[in-house]
Amino acid sequence: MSEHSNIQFLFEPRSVAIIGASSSEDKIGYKIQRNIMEGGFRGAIYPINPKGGDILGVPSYPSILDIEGEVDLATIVIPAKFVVRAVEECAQKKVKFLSIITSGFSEVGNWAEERKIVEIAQQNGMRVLGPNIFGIYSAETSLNATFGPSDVKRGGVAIITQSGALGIAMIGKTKIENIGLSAIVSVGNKSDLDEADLLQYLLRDEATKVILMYIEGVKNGERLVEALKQVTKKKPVIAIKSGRSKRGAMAAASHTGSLAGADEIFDAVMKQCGVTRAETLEEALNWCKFLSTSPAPRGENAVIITNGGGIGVLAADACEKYGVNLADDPETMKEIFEEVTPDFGSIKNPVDITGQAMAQDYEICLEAAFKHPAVDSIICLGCETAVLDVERLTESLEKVHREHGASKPAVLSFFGGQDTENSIVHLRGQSVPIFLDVYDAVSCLGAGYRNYRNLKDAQTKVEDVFDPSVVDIERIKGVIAKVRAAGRTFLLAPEAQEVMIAAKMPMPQSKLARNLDEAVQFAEAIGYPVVMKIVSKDIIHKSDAGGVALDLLNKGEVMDAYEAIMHNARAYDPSAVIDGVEVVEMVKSGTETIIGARRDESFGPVVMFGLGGIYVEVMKDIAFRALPLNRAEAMEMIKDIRSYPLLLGVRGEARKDIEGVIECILKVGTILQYCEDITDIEVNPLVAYDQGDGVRAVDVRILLSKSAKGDHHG
Amino acid sequence: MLESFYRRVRKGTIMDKFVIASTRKNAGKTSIIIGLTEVLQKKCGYLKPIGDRLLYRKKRLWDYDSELLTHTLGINEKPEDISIGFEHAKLRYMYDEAGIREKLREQAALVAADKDVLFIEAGSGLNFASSIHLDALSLARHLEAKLLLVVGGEEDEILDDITFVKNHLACDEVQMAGVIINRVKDVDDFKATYMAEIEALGVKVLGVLPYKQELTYMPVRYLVDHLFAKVIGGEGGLNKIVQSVFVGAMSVSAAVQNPLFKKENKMIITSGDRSDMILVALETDTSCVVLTNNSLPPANIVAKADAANVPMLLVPWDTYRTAQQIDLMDPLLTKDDTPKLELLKKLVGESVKTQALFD
Repeated sequence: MSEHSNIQFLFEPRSVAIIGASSSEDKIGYKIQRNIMEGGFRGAIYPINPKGGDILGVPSYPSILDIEGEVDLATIVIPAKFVVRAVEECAQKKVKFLSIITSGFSEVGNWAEERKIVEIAQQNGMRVLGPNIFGIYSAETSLNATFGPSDVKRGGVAIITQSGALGIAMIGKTKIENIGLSAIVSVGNKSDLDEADLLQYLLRDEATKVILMYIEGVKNGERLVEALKQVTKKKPVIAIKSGRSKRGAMAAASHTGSLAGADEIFDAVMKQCGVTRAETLEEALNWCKFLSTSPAPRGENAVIITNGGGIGVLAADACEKYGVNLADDPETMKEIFEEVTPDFGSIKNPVDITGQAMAQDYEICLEAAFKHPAVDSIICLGCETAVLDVERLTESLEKVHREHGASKPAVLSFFGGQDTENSIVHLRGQSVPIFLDVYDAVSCLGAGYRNYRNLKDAQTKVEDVFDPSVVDIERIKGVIAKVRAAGRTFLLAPEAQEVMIAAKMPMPQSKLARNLDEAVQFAEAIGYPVVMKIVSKDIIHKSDAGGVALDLLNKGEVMDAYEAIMHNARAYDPSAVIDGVEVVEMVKSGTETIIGARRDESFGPVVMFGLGGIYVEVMKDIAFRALPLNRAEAMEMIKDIRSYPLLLGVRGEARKDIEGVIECILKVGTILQYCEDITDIEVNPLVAYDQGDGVRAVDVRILLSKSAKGDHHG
Repeated sequence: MLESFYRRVRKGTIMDKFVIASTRKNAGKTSIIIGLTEVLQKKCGYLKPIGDRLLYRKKRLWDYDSELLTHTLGINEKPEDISIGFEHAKLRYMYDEAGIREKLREQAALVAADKDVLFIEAGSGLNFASSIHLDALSLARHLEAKLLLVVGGEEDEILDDITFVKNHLACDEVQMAGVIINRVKDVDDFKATYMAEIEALGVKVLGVLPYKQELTYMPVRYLVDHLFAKVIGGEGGLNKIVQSVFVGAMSVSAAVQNPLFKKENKMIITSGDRSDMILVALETDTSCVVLTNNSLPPANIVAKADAANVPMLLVPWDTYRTAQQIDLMDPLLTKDDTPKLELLKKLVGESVKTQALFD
């Protein structure tokens, strides 16, 4: 990043120009200038209006070129047809950043002008935020260059939003919820600056404790992944994404293509980057507030304190859902709670202080939990009862929060009538993390724990980087060149096999028989049992076409199978060009898995792993990750699938060669990363044997792009 | 067994043997055989030396017609033993001329044991498999069987085929049992117009069978297998019968005005993204919908098909190619298709002079 385009100048400009400033109160230009001034911005403010004169008491300039000093940030809020000219003037003025509020560009199909804006900016070292945005708020310099609410509460939450209207609404909502903001930035059309750029600043910004992203679409996913991985090592990131995938209407040529919906990939990649994904705005804001104001847990032991068994069980259910582990050592629980719990209560977890508990009982119990080192987090629940003085309770909870809230995370949930609801409103105003619904409360603690584990893993994980040189990329590119020369975008079995050999992927022996005589010879040479498969560029789904015969034990079966395969192939597609029948060593049975890799529109190369075989599209037990991947990440991906226990060994079976699977995942990923011509690779099945016995790639499918690409890594 | 077979030959107690041959593909040889076996009050055996409707499952290889005939005849022979092979390459690899003759006679002896009549079904066309000595005339010679010719198609084709065989095929070693003319659109008109000419050639016509639309109907399940289709919904309707085909490539308003669209038990061929066409098909009398180009319809459309028990079959080809494949498809009999089997028995019984076979 050059000095000129250092992202710091977007968030901490020393001077701001408003191109389109106005003295009319109903104009956006007026509102922006007013917000900047009322927000307490300490730098220079330059209203730009061709008519000149004072605006809000500040002298305006007819053009940005008339300003003497430097301009770090120019906010443009003039009609779309004048924006290009304004950008050119900004370029002349050597403005560092543009915040283009104006709409009417790519969001309405006007790509040409938007591209022109970016082109001018890039040629002159400027960066562009927007267009089609509401602006930027940055607490560091008290800069409110938005046309949203003017009074923004300062705090530790940074919001990056792709929706202007939602972003403005979030400013108001955060104020009501007593959530302080360190920044809120609208990215709009993302013609230049996107989330990845903004994250670079927010990562370093001390005031930012939590980052919330509202995303509608991802353009440069690979950059975003890199940025997120850096950020989540230091602070939590929460994402909301709209537009859940419409699964592609086409049944794709590969299983990976059929299974890789846009939302599945997004979900997997966010998880891979350590980002927590919220389902709703309410949930996201709850988490933001909690994570920015509550301390992180130091261990996994959560305790539930409740005056009602039913709500306690609900909380336990919620803990399971949100990944909160309950303390379960009876001796420790006894030590902490025996003295502070009535005899007829329960000191198991949930700790039941009974329906007769009063405010002081809560206070004593909570203090015991806060003070004991074996308790890492607290969930405090209550139902309004006849003996529970809500006013007194409110005071107690406020006191406990004030005295102990900074030591360990605690969430509360109380349920009752108007008094209880009033109490909740009051306490939330004091930043006590209290909720009407127990699930809302526990989900916040869950978010805290996800962040805790993420940071712990980031600290302790030794990144085992895979050396891509084990894959002979040049040899693979040679195979691809031959396939291209033959006018195909699909590798035949012998070609796919050569790619696997170049990648040192373990495969069964195979030979291509061009006639029955060869088929018999090869079967005898390889040794029984063998498998036979049709080889034809016109027949991709061999099993569906009756082009595969398994477990052939002798010459007679080989002859019958050859006959059947050839007959079926001709029946399936009379015009198919048949190269022959592949005779393959039949591998012994093991655990069938699938490894797929393809290029996602948003995130670039992604890899898939799951339970394999021909039913993969029915079982859908798969996980995705964006490339590049290291061994630890590959292992996490494997653990994500529901069938992971099968690989660990069940019902007396041995553990499978998971290390072999990991190596294959990384090799397949490397092939896709380094060979841009390849759009899809699929190994299905990859059979995993017992640990030490390795894995075998039984069937491989490789597809190329329709037109040749350049080298990915030169 | 072979010895016993030839002993019976010498004794003159051998059963009657007929090679059922045709000049063109899909003349109806198998249907005629089924009809004859149903009508004749004799124990019938069946042999199909060169298979053409291959089935391969769990390393078993057999012919579709063989399985059908073993079921309808109620014979004990396994379908795998009724054919010697399917592909020229394999048969050439395994046998020379003497070997194939030996194998043929072995198979015949096996299936003919305790039978009164043996029907041997030849391949499609008189010359089929001649390079491997399994053509119709070779079969008749090797097995000392009479040749029963089945001709079908357009009237001109029927006449051409009969005349050609009579005039140009030297069958000194082969005795003609006669000709059965099949699938004639208007039998009375045909007889009035052409029978005299055919008989003047000296050809023994054993019967003229009418074309029956019902014999062209196919169950949806059959289409699934022969189109290599994936069933993505409406599995409950796989036994429905398809009586006509409609290609849904036009607008819905044009489709509903087309008289073919109003037919019962129709099959619609259309792309999966034509939700409009699929919906209107589901609202009318439709046996199944074939979705082309691997194009999946929305989930709610599939749900409607499930509720209506209308199978949705997914194929990878475009509409034109799919329509072509279906057009070329032979509506084979299935073993549980009792109405068709009964109809065949009736047609053969009424139209064929079965006793003349043995004259």
